[in-house]
Amino acid sequence: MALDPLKRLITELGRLPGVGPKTAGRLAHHLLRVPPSEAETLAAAILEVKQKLFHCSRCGAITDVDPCAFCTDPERDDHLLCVVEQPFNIDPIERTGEFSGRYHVLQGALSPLRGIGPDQLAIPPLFDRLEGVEEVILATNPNVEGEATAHYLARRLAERSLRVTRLAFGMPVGGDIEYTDEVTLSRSLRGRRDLHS
Amino acid sequence: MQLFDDHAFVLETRDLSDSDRVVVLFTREHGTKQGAARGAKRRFSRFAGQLQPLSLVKVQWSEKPERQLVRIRSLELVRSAQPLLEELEGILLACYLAETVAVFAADSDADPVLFRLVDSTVQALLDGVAADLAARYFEVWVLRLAGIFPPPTNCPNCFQPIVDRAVLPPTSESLLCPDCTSSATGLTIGPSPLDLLRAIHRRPLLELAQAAPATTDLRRIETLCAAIRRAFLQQELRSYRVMLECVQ
Repeated sequence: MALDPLKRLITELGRLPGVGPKTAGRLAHHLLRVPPSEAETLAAAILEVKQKLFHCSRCGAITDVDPCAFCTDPERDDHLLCVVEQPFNIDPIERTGEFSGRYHVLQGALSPLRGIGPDQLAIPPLFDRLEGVEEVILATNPNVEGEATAHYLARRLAERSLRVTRLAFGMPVGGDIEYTDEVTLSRSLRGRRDLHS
Repeated sequence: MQLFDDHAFVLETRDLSDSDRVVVLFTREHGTKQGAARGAKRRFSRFAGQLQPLSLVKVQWSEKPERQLVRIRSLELVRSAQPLLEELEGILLACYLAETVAVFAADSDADPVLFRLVDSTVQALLDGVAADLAARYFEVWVLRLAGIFPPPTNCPNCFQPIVDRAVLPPTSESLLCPDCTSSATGLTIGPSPLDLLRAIHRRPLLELAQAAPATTDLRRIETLCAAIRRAFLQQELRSYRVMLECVQ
């Protein structure tokens, strides 16, 4: 009976993505050892995230104000719209410093094997905000789900007179041809570009 | 701990942790296996592009008793299905074929005939055989190998030969002759799709492809296979449902 709270914590931690029973057990025992203040800070942080953050009604990014900073920033280019699968895909793109347009988060990707179809994605809101957009960048992941999503959107966007682009595929910077798999290398070769243009 | 080597088709991958993936494989001699591909999500992963649906790979894994997940030690690409995955229809079809295999293949039991069917279907698709025909051929044979496809030869009710028309009643998994059931409620298979069905049972895919069957016949066979599969599984395959939603 005395172990019930610990078991409950392990069960709850085990529900987190990527956390198996062993890791959940380790995390729970770590939390048992830390000072109460540290555990309270963690609990408060979890509660605060749930209470104060939500999806932007316009682009679907995570925000604490609606519309979010990406949607209201006057410095951003309204003609460029970058479509991503998840809110956490925005950060890596922001870190490049190469993109200054707006975002749209689909809240997922088409996944035939998991039964996720177009109706379960934020596609209608994307079409509602294409007024004035000149280029849509499909920044979905380079896997089966991301590719299916990009092809599906590209087909539907073809009805509109705007440029539709996809992130390039290729070798990772710092990589090595010898250790690159055939599929990646093959796509890199097909996507090669002129050095003298 | 035991080490195994085999050829396999990649059926599905899903996230296991920040850096690892679970890979579902259909092996030639060991049936379906679920394995942990350590580091498959890393930037410089040795698995990277090899884990696409229907990729044929040479795989080595280790297995511990009582463990659901095997550990994938190495994975080498033998034949990529990437050309199929360059457009939406191809991706949807590849996922549909992969899910069909995952559902109908036995866990850990060799199914060399099904393996050969997957192999020849993927090869035919890569060689340019029409996706619609390849998919129908595959569906009929998977259901036939699973023992649930009703033979279009004799009516199981009156034992008379099925000549130019058959009906799949809504509550049955058998193809009956029109005398034994009402065609008003069931799915009627007319002479032309019936001929194609018989040809699928007798002739190889590449030979059928040269005859270029009519699209209406292929649609009828697709409807028939879907009805038989649904009746057997009591649900629709997820990938089939998404495929229909995407191409509407």
